[in-house]
Amino acid sequence: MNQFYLRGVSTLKLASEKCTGCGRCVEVCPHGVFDINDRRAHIIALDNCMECGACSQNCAFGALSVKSGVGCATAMINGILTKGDPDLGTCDCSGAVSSGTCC
Amino acid sequence: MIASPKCDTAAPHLPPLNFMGDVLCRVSDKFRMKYSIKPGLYRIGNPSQESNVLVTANYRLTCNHVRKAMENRNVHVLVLNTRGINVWCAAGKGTFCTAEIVRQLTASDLGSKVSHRTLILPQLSASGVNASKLHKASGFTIKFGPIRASDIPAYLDNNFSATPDMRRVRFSIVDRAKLVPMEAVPALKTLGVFLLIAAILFGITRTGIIFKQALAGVWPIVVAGLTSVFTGSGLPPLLLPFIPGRAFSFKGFCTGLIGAVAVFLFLQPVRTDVFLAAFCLVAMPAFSSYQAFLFTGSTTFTSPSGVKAELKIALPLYLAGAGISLVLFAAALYRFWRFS
Repeated sequence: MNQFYLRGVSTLKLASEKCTGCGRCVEVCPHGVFDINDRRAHIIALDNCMECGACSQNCAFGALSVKSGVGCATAMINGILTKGDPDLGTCDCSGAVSSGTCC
Repeated sequence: MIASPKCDTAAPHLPPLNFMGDVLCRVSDKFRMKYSIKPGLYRIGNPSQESNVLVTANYRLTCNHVRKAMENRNVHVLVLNTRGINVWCAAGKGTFCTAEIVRQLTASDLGSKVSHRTLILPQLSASGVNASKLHKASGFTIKFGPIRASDIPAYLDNNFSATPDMRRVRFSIVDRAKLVPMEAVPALKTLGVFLLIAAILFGITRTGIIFKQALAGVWPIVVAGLTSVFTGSGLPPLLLPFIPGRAFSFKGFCTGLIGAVAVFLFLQPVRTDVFLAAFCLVAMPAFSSYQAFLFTGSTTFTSPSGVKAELKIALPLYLAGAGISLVLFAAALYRFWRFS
């Protein structure tokens, strides 16, 4: 794709000792961040990570952690303007009724 | 024994394709927010108890993609209530989630309509759905299918295996071009308000607001503004990989600066008025940069940590830029009043 975002900002962490090599992370990651080698997952392209949280959400062994969210400037600016916190903002994609998350 | 005729309890067909709708939702935000279908169980073709179950969002454009891909096939489609939002955004914002799948499974009584216990989810829903939690809560096993609906047939025919290519998100020039109107429309609205106020201010004379004078004063700013929307909402999406820098705010600044220099060189009123020239050279790159920065929300690869890092540097600059621009605008306006 040859499209990259800022380097060295991703909060993705892999606790290798907890990994069983099941390959779920490889399956769900939309940016090819992981690879399975020697029955363990490895992060092979950390700067490709967009912190969507698909891997940590679906790692059954708690080996992955990431401060996930949506990389959307509109939502963050709205968050700062309305609540003083970039993490609390919403944008059009939050749905007509923004009553928070359901999970 | 003659079996009593079963009353028709088949789920409704997924609504037919809607080309006009698929175009309109790319242009009008109002239309897009209502471009949804009722959540629940649907079908494509005539699925049996053994047929696959696809799970998707209730954004009509999403459903249309699924329908187009699955033409001439028989499949159940469980449509979640994502409030009319696409799969990936809904998963990110928490409406395409484990609990909602359980809710729709119960409401549709899918368990009694299929003989298997497998759901096929779009890969991009994985950021909202926990497969093992769902299995515990419903007894259904999740398979994460491909990212794009158009790959579903190949995925199914390949015994539920997706190639690495199907698992990678793309962002081609065609994908990016489709997003341009939705970037440009809000920018044009903001610009319109500013230009209207500017025109009124330029038109003020001792005898009232004169239209001819308003036009004479504001037209260079109209050109400058439209140029900024082009360099901020048009060029960054289209030329994304070719514009220098990784930060979107920087990309938009670069294109905006080129636009500003062009306006300075080609517009005589800008070239000859030092305040107007300075206003264009500050406001145009700043406005362009801001629009490009907002495009982060539409891309397939920007991370929240990255956007936050950009925000920290860019936001103070935007505020400063806006302040300086207003002062320069006021100066240009004052001079216009005095000499016209």
